[in-house]
Amino acid sequence: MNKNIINIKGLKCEIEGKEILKGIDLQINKGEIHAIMGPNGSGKSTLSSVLAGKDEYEVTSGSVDYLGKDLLDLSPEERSWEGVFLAFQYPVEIPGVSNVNFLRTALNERNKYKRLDPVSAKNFLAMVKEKSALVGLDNKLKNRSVNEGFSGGEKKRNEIFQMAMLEPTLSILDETDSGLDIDALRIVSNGVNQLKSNENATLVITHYQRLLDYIVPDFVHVLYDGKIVRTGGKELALELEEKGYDWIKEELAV
Amino acid sequence: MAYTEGDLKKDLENKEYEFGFVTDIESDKAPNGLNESIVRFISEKKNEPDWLLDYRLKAFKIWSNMIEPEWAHVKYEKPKFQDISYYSAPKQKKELANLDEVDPELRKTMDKLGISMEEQKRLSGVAVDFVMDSVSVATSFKEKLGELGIIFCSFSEAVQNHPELVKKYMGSVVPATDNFYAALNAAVFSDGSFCYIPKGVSCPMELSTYFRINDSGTGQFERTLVVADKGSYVSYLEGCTAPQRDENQLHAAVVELIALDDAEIKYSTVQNWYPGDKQGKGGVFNFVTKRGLCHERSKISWTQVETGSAVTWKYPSCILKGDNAVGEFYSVAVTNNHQQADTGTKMIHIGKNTKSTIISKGISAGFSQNSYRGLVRIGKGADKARNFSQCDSLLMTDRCGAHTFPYIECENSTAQIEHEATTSKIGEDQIFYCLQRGISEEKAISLIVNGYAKEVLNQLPMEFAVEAQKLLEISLEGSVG
Amino acid sequence: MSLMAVKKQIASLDLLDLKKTNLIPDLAKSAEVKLNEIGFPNRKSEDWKYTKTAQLFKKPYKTGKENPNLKLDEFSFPKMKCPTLVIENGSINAHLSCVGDVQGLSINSFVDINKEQVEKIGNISNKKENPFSFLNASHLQSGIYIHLKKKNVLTQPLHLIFINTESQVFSNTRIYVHLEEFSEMNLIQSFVNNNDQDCVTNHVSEIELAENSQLSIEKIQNVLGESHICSEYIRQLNSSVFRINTLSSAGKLIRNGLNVFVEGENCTSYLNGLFIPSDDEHIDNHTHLEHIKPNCFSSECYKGIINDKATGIFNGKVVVHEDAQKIMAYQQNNNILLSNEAVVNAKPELEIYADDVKCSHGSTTGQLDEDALFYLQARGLSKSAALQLLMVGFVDEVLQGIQVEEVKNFYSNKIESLLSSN
Repeated sequence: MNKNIINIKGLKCEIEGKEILKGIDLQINKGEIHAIMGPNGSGKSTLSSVLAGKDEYEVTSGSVDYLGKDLLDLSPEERSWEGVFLAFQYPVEIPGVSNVNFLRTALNERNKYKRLDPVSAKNFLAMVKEKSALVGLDNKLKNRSVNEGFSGGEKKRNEIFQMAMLEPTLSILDETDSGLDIDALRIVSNGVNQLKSNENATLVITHYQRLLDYIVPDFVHVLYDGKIVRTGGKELALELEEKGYDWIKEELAV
Repeated sequence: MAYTEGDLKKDLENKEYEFGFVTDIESDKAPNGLNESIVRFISEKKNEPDWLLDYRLKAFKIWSNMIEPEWAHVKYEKPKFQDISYYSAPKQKKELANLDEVDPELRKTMDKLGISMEEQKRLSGVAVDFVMDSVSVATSFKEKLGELGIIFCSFSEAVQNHPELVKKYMGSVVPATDNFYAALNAAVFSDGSFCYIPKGVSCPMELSTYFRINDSGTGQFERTLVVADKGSYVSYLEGCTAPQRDENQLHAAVVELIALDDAEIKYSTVQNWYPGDKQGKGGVFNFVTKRGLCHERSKISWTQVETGSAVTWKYPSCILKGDNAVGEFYSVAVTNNHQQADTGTKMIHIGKNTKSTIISKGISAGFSQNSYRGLVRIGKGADKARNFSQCDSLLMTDRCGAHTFPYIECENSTAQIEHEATTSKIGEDQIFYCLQRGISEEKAISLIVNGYAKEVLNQLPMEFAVEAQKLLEISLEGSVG
Repeated sequence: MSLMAVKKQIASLDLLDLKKTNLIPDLAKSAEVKLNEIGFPNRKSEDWKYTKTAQLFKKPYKTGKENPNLKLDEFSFPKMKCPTLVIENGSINAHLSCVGDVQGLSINSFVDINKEQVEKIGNISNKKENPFSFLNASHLQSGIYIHLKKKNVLTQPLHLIFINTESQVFSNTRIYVHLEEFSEMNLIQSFVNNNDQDCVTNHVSEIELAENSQLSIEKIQNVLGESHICSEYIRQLNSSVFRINTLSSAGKLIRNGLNVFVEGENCTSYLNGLFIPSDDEHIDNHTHLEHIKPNCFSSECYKGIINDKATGIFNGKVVVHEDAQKIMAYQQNNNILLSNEAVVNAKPELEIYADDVKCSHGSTTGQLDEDALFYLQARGLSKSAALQLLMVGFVDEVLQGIQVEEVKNFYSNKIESLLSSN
């Protein structure tokens, strides 16, 4: 049985003629948690955007195999239906659209794609209740407009709540720790850990090691100047924490 | 709309006799053109009293000396007023019995709206007056309302049965001299709805009028008069559709609302006249004068969802005459393809402590032009008057236009006026966020647009709100490529 | 008001002798034709809805003479030794003017300019039809051409003082300002008088900003008892920056028509204004800004404090043309009414034909914040002191935008004294 979820080979991409990713190779298997770390501007968020299908980035070469499909060939919504979930670094506000209406639309669109029946109101509400408990999302937030007027922490919790609802195969957490205080960080991480199974995988993108105290990665990759320059276990994150990124830069310069 | 062709057919079969339609169908349409004898013909046809004929003739004189206004931000070929028939009763049975003749585009729309017979039946609690080609053909729930002293009938009936009320209030808010189209309407109006709520009565159900232009070569000139006596309440709904025609059809209605002391009128419109085809051919010219007069502590609230018509020219307004009166205007106007809309409101503050709120949400797509035009006037005596206006525009394509023309006139130093307006493109980051959650682009746009318009949609009665949401969706279908 | 009647009242004015200049007589002639075509504003002219000009022409006017005893101390900014040009009763006063020799800058009367320069005059002002600007061209009394050569950045502003020293004077003056590439300057235009006199000034400024040039204008209007029709026409090319602060503190009838045509990309425009009419004064600010090319930014902020029986008007229009994508245009207007007989009319308009834009406008009319007033009183300020402080705070946003420090100081003081007298 194939344990592979995603296999990225030689991925290069550019925006407005400027090359950001300069050849990424990354393979993620079922049940694994990978962390990508790197200094600002190294291309971390670009990688997550490219995997989610944001069209302002142009892929110039390389391939991304996702569960046997060419991921780059799929539209953003098809990727979502196939189980790719991106927790946004800056979750978008959609005024006037309630959180639950948003999610129900999302679930039903996916079910339609998978030729499943739309989720019943009863089941949906039960699911909302169960999953929101996971991240302790305030009941009133569920009926508020998507992310509108949410605090930074509430937005991030809402992302994880949505992740729980959509039950993705590959979750990409883009700087989910930014703007979180220590309590919120614990709650969010706890949610992510509970959603982990032997069938799915998580890609955590972060600048700081802090998050990795809570979401313990199997692999840590260091992204620098559009390339993965080092891969290791969770101890690599600690090393980075201790020495900073300059150490990598210096080593590369040699 | 809260009514279908099927219902209409049924109602007509049942009520045909009651309304005394003559069988000679041809004679129920006036010859094209407008002159004094046409005005007399209409008045005679409706068996009107002399005072009303005089009123019409005066209005006709006034109209003859007026020129069509050009200040609105719309361009269109002016209607040829002599090529229009100013009176047309529906050729009921023959045409309506045959649903296949109803244009398929409209039927599709109705199907999409989910207006099935079954659903209609469930929509009890809504009394409906049906005005087709200027003639009121069906009013339901009359008896039940009668028990409370509520009068809800066609305008012609009111002229016959309640002339004192009609005479007293007709033209008191929108005089025939008001503007070109109001004058035209005053001269040739053929029917419409009349509603009177007695003192202290809260109308237990939504009153609804459904307007439809069916016949070709006709204009629709209906008049609506709603009088809410002291301390009464009424919620009034108005819906409109017209079949697909290559020619432009003229709709020049007048709506007058009178809210006496402590009364409240809620007037909601879902306007879905035929907007013309994708190339901008055909469609209804919707030139409507709507105005309400608020006495002390009364409230008039206009809500409109405008998705139809080739050209819209419409400013539902409130004259806040009495102290502590409240005026509200909530509007969503969608234009697509080659539609043009110039719509907004006037809030005229005369009494002390008067308050007004304006929420306008414009959505432009295709090659359309969508303008908000509004006036807030605070008179000298309007101490502590307040107004808040929020006018937002959403642009869907790079070939449409969104414009804002607010007029703010203040003559009182204790008044407070706030006006805000924004214009922006539909958020690409919002669309991507939806896509990432597995919501297709079309659905995403509909979600975002409905969210954007929510403040206004929330003002509509429940059944209407759902329908209006679907209408928005249909109107914008394929608007983003 | 018929055109005939207007012309009758100004028939005896001395005009610029076109024969002495290279000015194509066509300028006056074509303006005359245009004027005949569009006529004078009447009740139905949407652009003049709130300002009636007929009263200006109830009596005849004349051209004033030079006054040998004229002193300008109170109108100049002594700390800056800036080049100053004085236009008295519509004519250049050579004795009082002191332009000196500034590198790259040339200042000439329309009488002395070359053919190429002559041909520019009227080109920008003709982009918008304004009867007063056509009248200005057909009845021009004097004109000044200001030209700043490429890459010259002036450290001192140029100060133009327009002063009327007699009563019943009607003057039609015009300036043409041309900044070449990468040049920068500040221009102060002071419109002043030394006593309350019934004059009319009809002034037109045409401004051409080449690529990467920057111009700031401080426009001071302090013309008690006078009427003032003042129209600016600005053409901006790529990456130019234009800034204007219109500071109107007194005038019987002031009508400012500010028209900006942004014809280049990456341009920046700031249009700010402050108007403080009192008694029965009438101050009307019309702005019209057109974004014709993409990627530009514009910001507009007008504040009005209206007292007594005065009227304040703001009519701001922003037009974004088709294909002028990525425009950010903001417009703000706030008014405070200090008296129950004061009137405000505001009309902030947006006309947008491109979709990828961020445009907004806001307009408020009301009183000073009651809570803030109470807060200050609770901290021991008298009501009048608190009110004054709040009003100064109210206008601060505009004052802070003034580029020339001495004008800013002058105006801050002026406003404080104006407001404290209330």
